[in-house]
Amino acid sequence: MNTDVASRILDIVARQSGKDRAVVTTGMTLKELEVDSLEAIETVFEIEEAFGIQLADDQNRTGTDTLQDLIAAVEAALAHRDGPANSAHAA
Amino acid sequence: MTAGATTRPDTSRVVVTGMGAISALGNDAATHWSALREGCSGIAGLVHPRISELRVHVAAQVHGFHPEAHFDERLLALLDRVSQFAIIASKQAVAASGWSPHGTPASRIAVVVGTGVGGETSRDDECRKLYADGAARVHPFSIVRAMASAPASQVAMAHGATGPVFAVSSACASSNHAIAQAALMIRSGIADVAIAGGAEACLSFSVLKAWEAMRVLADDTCRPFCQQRRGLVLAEGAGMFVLESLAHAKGRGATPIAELAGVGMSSDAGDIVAPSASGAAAAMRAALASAGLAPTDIDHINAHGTGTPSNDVTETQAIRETFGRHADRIAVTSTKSMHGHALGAAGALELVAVLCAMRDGVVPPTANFLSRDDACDLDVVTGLARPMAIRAALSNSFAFGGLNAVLALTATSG
Repeated sequence: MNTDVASRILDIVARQSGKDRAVVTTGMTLKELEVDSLEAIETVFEIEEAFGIQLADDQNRTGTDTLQDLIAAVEAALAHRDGPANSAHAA
Repeated sequence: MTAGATTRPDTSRVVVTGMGAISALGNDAATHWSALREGCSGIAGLVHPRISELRVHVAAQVHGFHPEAHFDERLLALLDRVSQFAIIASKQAVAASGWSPHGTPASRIAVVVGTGVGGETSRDDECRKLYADGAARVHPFSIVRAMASAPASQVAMAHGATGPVFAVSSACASSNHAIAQAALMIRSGIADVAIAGGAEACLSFSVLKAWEAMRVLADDTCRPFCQQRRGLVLAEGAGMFVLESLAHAKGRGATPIAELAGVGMSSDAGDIVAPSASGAAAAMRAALASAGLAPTDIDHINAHGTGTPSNDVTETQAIRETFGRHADRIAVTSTKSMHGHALGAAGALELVAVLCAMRDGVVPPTANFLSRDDACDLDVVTGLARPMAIRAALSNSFAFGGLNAVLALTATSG
């Protein structure tokens, strides 16, 4: 896991959820952070904007994936974006 | 059965005597219905000049439509696609009703047209010229094409209606709210006849991008109430109806298709997107009360049934909350599986389905259904259309923003 990527994602999640950054950990879900479905979509959007990537449409649709799952999806999208087969359709 | 409705005088009972439609399934109501009855879906690959920049790849678009065959050049310059659809559907409805607007005082004719966004593709085109192409000016007809009330004004001009004319906008419930306003005006004696329905044509680049960003679009097709549903499929089109008082219809010897016996409206006042079962149930109960119907009178519901994970479960809960054990005896279908989600036109395209289902005694199937979702445990009609007599039916529309509008239709005995 790229700690810089993870840290930036947790910063975004903390900001979006209005929670103290210290309580936001990779094992948590957006649901546990009391992020509703619309806020979850906005959070995914903020992450896409921050990293210049496109995540899957159903990324965290239920809010029950852990933040670690989200970090993994971002890392996969970054690898895809920066890989030889560059494509707009990542993750 | 229709105790509440039938105790009202004929002047305040509302019947539907004509309908028109244009959709991905066909450019008239008969073709639209024929496809629905056969379970044929109009959902196909999205045709768009900037398709390579879009992630959405399926839609239910109107094809084979040539506006120049319907409108002269001078009028066409004033019409956004949404107004073209509204006028065409309204002319079909008036022709099918056998009613001549000249036979009714013009001031007694109302027009109410629902639309989510009005002349969106005109707005998008002019914005592109202004912001992307650096144009110094936009087309002088930009406002009259784009304004949300343009379809209502254009339909009124097409038929010489000088009574109350306005647009109704309540996102995906716009059509049902519009039809409800028209019906209530007839009931209250403000109008004798109303041309009412909904129109939408908003598949512009910016709107498609905005829907993509919401992450509610299916990437395969629309599968309402089905375990494998992946979201809604955007559509366009229009449905328009001639509504009149029963007294007016009798006076000219018209045969109603069905009675619009009641309307029910409610607001969730909760979340801007997440639907509420109690809000939807309140609208269904209000429609039953307005129609003087008992829950056990309802044989069929054309569901809002968008095919999103949350709508279909919530709507199932709402139907169960409203109908109790009788919910298992109601044939439920979502025709959005075939004509897609036409947003402000959705309720109108669905009302065509309900009226034809009642007239022909057959409930169209929910297409694209793979396997049952236990959280949507209604009697969803799948596979082939189901022949059955329909005494009374509901048509549900539940919009973003928690705006709910339900129409109650009853069979007319002639």
